[in-house]
Amino acid sequence: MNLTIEHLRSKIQALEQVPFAKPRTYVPSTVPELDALLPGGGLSLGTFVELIQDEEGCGAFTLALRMARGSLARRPAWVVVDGDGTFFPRGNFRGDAEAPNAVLSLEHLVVLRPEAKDAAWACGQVLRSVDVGACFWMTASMDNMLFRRLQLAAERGGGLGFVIRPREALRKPCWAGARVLVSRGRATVLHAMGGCGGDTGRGDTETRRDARWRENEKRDVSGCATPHP
Amino acid sequence: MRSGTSVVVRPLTPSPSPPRGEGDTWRSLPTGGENARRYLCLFFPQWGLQCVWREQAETRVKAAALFERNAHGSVVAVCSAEAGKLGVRGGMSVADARALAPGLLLVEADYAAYQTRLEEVCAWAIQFSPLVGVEPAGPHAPHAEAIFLDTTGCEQVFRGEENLLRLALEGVRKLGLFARAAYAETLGAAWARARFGSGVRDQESGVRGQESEISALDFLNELPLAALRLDHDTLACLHALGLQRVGELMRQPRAALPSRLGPLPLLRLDQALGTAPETLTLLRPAPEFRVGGSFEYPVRNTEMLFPIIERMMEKLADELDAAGRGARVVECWLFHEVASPARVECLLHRSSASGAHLWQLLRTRLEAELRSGGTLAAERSASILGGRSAAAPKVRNTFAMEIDDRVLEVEEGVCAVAVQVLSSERLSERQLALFERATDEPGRLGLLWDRLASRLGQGAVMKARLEEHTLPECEVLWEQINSKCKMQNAKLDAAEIAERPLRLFKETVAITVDWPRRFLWNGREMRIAAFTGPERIETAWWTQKDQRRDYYIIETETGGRYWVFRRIGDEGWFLHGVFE
Repeated sequence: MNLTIEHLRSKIQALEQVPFAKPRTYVPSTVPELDALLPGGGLSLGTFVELIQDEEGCGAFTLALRMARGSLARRPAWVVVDGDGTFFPRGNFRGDAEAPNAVLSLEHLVVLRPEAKDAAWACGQVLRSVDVGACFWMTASMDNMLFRRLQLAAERGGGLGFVIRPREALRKPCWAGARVLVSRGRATVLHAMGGCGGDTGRGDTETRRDARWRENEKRDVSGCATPHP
Repeated sequence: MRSGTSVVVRPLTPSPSPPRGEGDTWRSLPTGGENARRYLCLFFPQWGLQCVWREQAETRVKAAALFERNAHGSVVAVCSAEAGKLGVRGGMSVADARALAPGLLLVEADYAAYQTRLEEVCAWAIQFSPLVGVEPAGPHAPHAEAIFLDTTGCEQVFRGEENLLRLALEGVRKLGLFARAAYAETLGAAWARARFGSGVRDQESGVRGQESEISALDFLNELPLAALRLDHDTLACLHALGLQRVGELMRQPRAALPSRLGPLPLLRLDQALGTAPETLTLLRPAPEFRVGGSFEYPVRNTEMLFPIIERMMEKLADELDAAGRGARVVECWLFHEVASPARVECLLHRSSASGAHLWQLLRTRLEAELRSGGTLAAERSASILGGRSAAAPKVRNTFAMEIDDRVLEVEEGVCAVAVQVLSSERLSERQLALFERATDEPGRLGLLWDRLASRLGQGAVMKARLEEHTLPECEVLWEQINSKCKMQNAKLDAAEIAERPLRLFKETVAITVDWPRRFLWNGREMRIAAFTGPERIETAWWTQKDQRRDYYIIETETGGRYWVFRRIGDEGWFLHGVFE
């Protein structure tokens, strides 16, 4: 960048005390349908993404993991803030980081199990790190101030932050870079900031495209009269 | 809790020609020598019963006895004074004891648990000396009842041995225990004095006389032979010879003792007198580097305290740097005037000799402990035998706010501080860290894990390891991030990776299922739209958990996907996980 322009920018910034938006780097989320809906063709690094799950077990966390792969290709370390200790990284990840077509690697996973009062602090610390690719947190309560702090932390660290929240969060304001509603196995981009003007996008995508749901074995229960298999 | 490190307690002065060389003379080493060590022995009479009383306070006033099962049936191992008044004795059969004392409280002895609790008390005693150990079980007592503290030099921190002894006994009392304590220059003499000495201190009586000025030879003379920690057979033999006191044994010709009584009596005597070495197994390794200091007046806020500790950490880092080593475990002790000392420990993800980094970690821990209102080690130790003491927290903050630049007050003034490195490693031998890549700046991730572990606790920062196991809940093992062992995951082919939920409940949840239409969970009716399965999972009957389960992945009409299983046998249904 031209040094003169940079110099002038810093001068104006010093006068106005308003930081200029840094040039954004977009990484594909590895979900093509979702990328098509996001400005820049993917998620902007240094973004905090909010996923609203319509119901438990609807696949929001799985979608978040898929969306993080682009960032994790640059920074493999990833962190899960697991307050209730139920995170179970068995079926979805490989223990061998060098394996071909490796998905998220357990070798680079760190799981935090903080007490409730420390969870936000822990999430902020991880997001501020310039070495962590993604941070995931499932929580119901999050006030505006905390939301803003985490977004700023993500901007500083340059990784991706994902918070998975229940449907009740839809009624509250969103400070995240993107808000995605996951319902009945489909995702809808409700809001996405990007570029200089804060473009938004809307659309649907399948959340479990890569889930190894054995479709050929899947049985529809309609008309199933068997009392027990 | 680590154990197994041993130090050899050397004879106090080198003795190329042992005093027993003449064959008939006994000599103890002079007291108060330049190289003399001081040992404090805390003896807990009837330790098993004390453990029972600690757990069931209402039984303290009752006649109680511990019994054990042997080839002859159930016999009384130890009984309380109240039971003794009723005629109950050790070695008596339980039936006889019940006949003598119908209201007798009989508890089966659990010596392993008593040993664990004694080790917990030993860990608590580290606040008085870094070198502590549990009495090794020996022929004299198959089950330990005493702990030893090497207090050499520690009296300076506690302003004298008397003060240290008083604090130790007060602490024991707060734990709800009873102990007899005595100092000596050898382990054997300290144990003998604490167990059989007449001038020892306990919670009810004071010290009589200046024990330190009495030589081991003098006070051992009058003690019974059991004070030498001899086995039952040897004692019986000595009694049969008409010997009752240690002094009487010492008047016998030395040369004849081993041939008639075996080597033990002579060895024990020499150990008690300090002319033969004795090994004390330490509960924790001795600190490798240590910096400390005391204040003229107690410090009562972090504004004054923290700069002092920071300077100590810099000094400690200099020592580490000079030795070419990096700290892995750092410990900080805060000593108060009256209250028990408090301890904070930091485990590092990777060795470090950076004073700033070490101080940052320690500061985070100190502030977190202060904010939590007294969960420092001294407080935690109060719950060693079940339950926190009723005493108010020794350290608490007055500002229940987030940390950083805020000043926290320390309720009990700190009069001395010690920071020490319990474990270190050569910096040049450091291996690449778990998440380290060539492009990483060295140690940045390690600093993050250290910072998180300092604030959240070591057990809250984990890494996962895959195990090949039949039961799903055993397929992922969790290790602390600072664990030194290298994580090795089981290598699984894609075909072997069965679909598993992202959330697995710690405890399976019993659900009501109307198969295959619906199930009830948390009071909600979930209508089943589709399912796949079953996946039969069963463990071998010879393993610890004998389980047979049929797992199903269920998709509800609202889009939720759940992992449920039917337990074969009782046909119960359980929810085990959610595919988030």
